[in-house]
Amino acid sequence: MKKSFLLFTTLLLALSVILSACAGANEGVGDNASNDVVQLKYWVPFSGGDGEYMQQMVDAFNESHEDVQVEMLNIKWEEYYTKLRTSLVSKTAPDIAVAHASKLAELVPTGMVTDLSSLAEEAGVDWNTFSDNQLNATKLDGKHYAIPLDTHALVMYYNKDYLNEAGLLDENGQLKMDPSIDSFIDVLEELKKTLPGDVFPFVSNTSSVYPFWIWYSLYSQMDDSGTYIVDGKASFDNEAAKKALQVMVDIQEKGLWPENVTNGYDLFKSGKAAINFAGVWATGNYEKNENLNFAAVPFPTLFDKPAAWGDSHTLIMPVQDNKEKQVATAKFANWLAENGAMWAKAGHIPAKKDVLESEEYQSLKYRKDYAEAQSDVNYMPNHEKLWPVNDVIIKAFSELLNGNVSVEETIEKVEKEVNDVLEK
Amino acid sequence: MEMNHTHSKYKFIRLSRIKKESSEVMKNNISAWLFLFPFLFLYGWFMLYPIIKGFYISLTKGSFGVESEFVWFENYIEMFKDYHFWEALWNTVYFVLISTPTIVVIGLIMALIVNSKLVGTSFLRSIFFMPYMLAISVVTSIWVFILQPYTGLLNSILHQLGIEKEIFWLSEPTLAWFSILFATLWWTVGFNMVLFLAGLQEIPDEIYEAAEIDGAGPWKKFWYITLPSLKGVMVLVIILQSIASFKLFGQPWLMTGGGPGTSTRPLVQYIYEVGFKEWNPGYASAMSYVLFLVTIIFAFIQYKLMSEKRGE
Repeated sequence: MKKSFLLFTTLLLALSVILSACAGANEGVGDNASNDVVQLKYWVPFSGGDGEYMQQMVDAFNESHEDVQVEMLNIKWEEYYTKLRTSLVSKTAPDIAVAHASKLAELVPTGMVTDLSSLAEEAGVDWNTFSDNQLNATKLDGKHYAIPLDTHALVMYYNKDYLNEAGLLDENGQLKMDPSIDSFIDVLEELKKTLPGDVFPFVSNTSSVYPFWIWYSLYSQMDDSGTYIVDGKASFDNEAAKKALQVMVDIQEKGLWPENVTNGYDLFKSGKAAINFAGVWATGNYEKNENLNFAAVPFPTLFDKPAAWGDSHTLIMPVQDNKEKQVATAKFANWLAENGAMWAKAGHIPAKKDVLESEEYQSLKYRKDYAEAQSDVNYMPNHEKLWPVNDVIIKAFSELLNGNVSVEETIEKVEKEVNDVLEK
Repeated sequence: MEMNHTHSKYKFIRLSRIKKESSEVMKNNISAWLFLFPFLFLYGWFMLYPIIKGFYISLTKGSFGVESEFVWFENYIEMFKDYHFWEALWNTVYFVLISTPTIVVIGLIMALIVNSKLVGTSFLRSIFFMPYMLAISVVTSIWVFILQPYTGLLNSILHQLGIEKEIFWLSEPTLAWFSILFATLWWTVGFNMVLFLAGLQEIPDEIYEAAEIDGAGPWKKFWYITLPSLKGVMVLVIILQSIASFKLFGQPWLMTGGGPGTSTRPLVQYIYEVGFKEWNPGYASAMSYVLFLVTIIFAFIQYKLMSEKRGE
């Protein structure tokens, strides 16, 4: 009798400890109104090298602001949007989070992203200080849903030593080339003649995102091109789209771009390739190799007008009741954009116009050389299912460059499968 | 009369003992339930409830967190018309068919080697089992490093040996499956080996000695003694292996991305993409229940076949 009584009491105590711990965890949330310091939770997907720079910025903000303190949570890139969307839907979202401009069309329909049009005024955010192209990318139905932070576009890197040997650089060390696709191919052919046998004239990954981004850059440059989702349907079946694909296949077939490349960054960084199309974030990676004498410039104009693939990191504010916190998040977001020169160390192009002209930014090596790329970025179509559609395209174009399918078959396949995704 | 008195005295003692026992039993029951409660609570909430709720979700349609509409079995019907589903299902089944015999047989061979107790076999036992301790991301990082084109270890070695052609282990459809299979084999065969070893060590030496006296050579010993004695373990290993192969996801995801195109995309990856990239939880859920059903039926058929064949 005594034994089971002891047992019972022990278990009851154990249970009550567990339950009170659960209750205690929830209590902290509502208390902030009474404190003087506003605590903000900030989520970012910068699990690569970018994370360090963002943390530095957050630390600098916390040091310079007594009334607002920001806690940054760096989530692994692969899991980021799964977590972010889940948190939005379950109302456990952070106060402020990074979101790509191309993701806004997917996140806004959840109803949990704040319309910033009035909040911005209260927080002192001046929309005119942002570059036009970037600001437009954050507006849906004429409303502001995010504050732009940066642009990361597809740009061209080239190895100055190799190009110099081939006689392709002018007195300023810049690539001598007419703005035409034939001229570009000539440059690659010339390189092939002078380069050592194990160095490729051109390299970019032939699987994952690069075939898609390169295709989209070329496609955007053509006059008679459109976007690829029109009125909720796929729109690939046109001459411009096919031509853009054919160009990539031709470059491969001429032996100027190797097949099955999965480590394009490494190949360029270690001097095994002369020219590389990559995202601006590669700058930080490439400059770590002191022996690499390279240049970074906007994606070359090879057709009718300058354009390139790009996307932007923007800052969204999930819906919440605490007005004080919301105003604080808008101020924080504005501060981050103002200090874009710090963020530019990661290679990205800041979204605020005066940052681009600042001494701090101009003093950074390489980055100012491609800053103008941001006005030529052709953002991807706004659609709720953009990212799964892009996944389909990525797979199909990788197959084209790695396998034995033709351009016609690829266009047909991509048109059909994108429609499948859009209709589901 | 005396006997009656004693009889009723015993009856009284027995009754009171029963009463005492039943209240003891009750107290034991309560204690038992109290002990079980924390686990049952968590198990119910995190295992049983999601299984039931998941099935309910498979009967709904709508973008995750935005809307949800009850549509009965529409998702299941859509599934049967979706060639991506059939392709992914076939990829999974194909992998089950190529991996189960391979990893089982090689596990058995390894166990036989280790069991032969020649010099160095206990060292081999550790070597064969060690990869099993690694996490999937480590395993695939290693194999990508070895198999990748242009800078991979294997191709570098082949070039040194005079083979000039660049072999694309991870991007050609047949080679890609081979790479996935080999990485999986390297990773998990140690587990099968351990199970077979345990089974082998149960076989008494006397039977082998008796067979030798009767003039049986090594092959006859293997076929008539070892294999039949391992029947129970064999059934277990084959079923466990095929269930594990049905759940294939990490290796193709991290090594080939399901590519080239979608030729190495298993069903679990397609479920993940539909659920968390297209945000279509209803359809993804429906597919996962179909996968569950297929796995169970496959395991059941195997069990029945193997039990009958050996005359149980």
